[in-house]
Amino acid sequence: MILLKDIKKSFGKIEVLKGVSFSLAEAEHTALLGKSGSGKSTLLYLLGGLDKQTSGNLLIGDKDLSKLNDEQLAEFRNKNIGFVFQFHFLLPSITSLENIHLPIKISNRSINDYQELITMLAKYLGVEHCLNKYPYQLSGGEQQRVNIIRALILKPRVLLCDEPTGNLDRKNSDKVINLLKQLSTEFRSTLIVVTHDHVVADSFPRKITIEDGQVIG
Amino acid sequence: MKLSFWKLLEITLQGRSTKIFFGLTVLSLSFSMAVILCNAGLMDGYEYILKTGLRKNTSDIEVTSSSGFFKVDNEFLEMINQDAITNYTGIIRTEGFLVHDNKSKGVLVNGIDVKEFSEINKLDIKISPKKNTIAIGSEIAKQLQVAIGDYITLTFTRGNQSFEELPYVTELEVSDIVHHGIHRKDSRLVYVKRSYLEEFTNSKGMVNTCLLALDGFSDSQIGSYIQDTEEKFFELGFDARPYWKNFSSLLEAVEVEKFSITIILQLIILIALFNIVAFINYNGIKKSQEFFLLRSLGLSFKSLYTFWTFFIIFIWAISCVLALFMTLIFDKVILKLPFLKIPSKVYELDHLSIHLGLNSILGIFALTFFWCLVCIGYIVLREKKKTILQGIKGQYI
Repeated sequence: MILLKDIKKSFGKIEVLKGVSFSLAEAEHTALLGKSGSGKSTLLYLLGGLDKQTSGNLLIGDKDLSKLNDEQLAEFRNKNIGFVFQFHFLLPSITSLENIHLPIKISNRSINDYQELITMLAKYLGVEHCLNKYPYQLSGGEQQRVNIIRALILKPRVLLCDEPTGNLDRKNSDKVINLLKQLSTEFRSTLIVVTHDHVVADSFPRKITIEDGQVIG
Repeated sequence: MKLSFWKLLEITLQGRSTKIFFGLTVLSLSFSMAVILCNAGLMDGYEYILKTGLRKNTSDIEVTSSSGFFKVDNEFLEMINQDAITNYTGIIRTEGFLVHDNKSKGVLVNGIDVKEFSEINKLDIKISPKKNTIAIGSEIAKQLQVAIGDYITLTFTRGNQSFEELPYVTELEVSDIVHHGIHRKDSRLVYVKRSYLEEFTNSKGMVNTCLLALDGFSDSQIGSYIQDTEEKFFELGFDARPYWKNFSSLLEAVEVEKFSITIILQLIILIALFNIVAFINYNGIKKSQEFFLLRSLGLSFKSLYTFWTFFIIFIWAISCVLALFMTLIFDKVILKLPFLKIPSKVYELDHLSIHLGLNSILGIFALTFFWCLVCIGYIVLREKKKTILQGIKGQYI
């Protein structure tokens, strides 16, 4: 479902990814491990269509991301990719519910069609009382769970998580990882979690380790 | 891939400091536009007040004859044969002196038929039909310290053959003080009955000036009319002049000045635009996280660029409205504050107010809009260089 072939990415003269190749199946759960600066976040953003590789092929389904223009790539991201960021990344000026509505509005779909799913996910994640609150009124764990609802609301084919438990305690960390796994299984989404936490990584059936811009295991 | 303009605007303006910065940016642009509008408005106002004042007491066209006196009768009207002429009146004009209380002043005496004159002009001059009275310009009254009911001495100069039999001195009662609204006229013109001057000039039924009114003609139409008929009037020994002719060089100077000042004052707009650019840069840094998040969620660069375009247009539109409002306030203030009163001896007018033509308003708004487009171009170039990854990473690092 996801195929990376000899992916290279440079920023100026610095080569961050030096020929990364692997493939992932649909609904597969994978942890992307590596030290800080190893290139794992860069690889995650390439997978999410947030940047383009310098060379190599990146296919998600039948789409070659390098061949999509900005407009097509934006549409692709909206429909196929869900992001969960380390720092929750909710817009502070709008409520949690409005934050969840963002991908729906961007895709020009009707919010009414998603009302039921939002309620179900909010209940499932235990944040139904947070929906009308602003992000600053929520705890870190609550913000992260709202973030997960927003990432999953359009049932993406790929769910990309960049250190989603980075600033959570062990108990909350385990809870979030389990929720991500359960929901991505339910939605048949391929789950890729970037982490440097070996406990988190060990809970995944597949681990890809990146070091110095290359896959080492 | 759309998100409503208002939703993005809400995100853009979130935060007290951002709102204050935005408010000041709009205020600076609107103030800059108001400065230009006020300048152009004062120039337009000058032209408008001067022309209105002139038209009020000269009618549309003034005709004089190379042979001096002429009769304004059917023959004359047939001779000039102009269908556009709706009204006319003949005037006898001659130079004279007013003397009062050991003060004297050179004046232009207008012998008028009060009824005809009031029909062709908007000046309501009060001259007694029974006895010989005189109406004098307001500046003359001020200089000679004359009030209505006072007696004043009018003398005529010798030199013109027609006037050589004139008695030199006559005493008249002041029946009216005329406000022309134009300094030169207020300090120079006096009015007496035409029949009174006919008597002295032995020119019964004749005049040396004829005022013509045209059928609702605008200035440009009057100009074209004169141009079209100039040759014919010349052949008949007449000289036809538009009502602003005596002030045409002044009006031209004002027009040129208006253009130059508007161009020079564009610098103020440029400075205000720096504020917009500064605001966008500030916003780009402060709200980078939000905007790159929206892009990661599927908002395309085109949508974001469209938002910025509308955002700049939004700033421009609010600024236009505010600038007009500021101009209105200035227009009210200018008449109230004594230090803003213009020297009427220099500028001919006793007051000045803002009169903005639609062309001037649109011209100034369009020029500002052009600079806003330049601003949009800058934003597009700047934003296009950034990738989403750089934006998001910029927040993380």
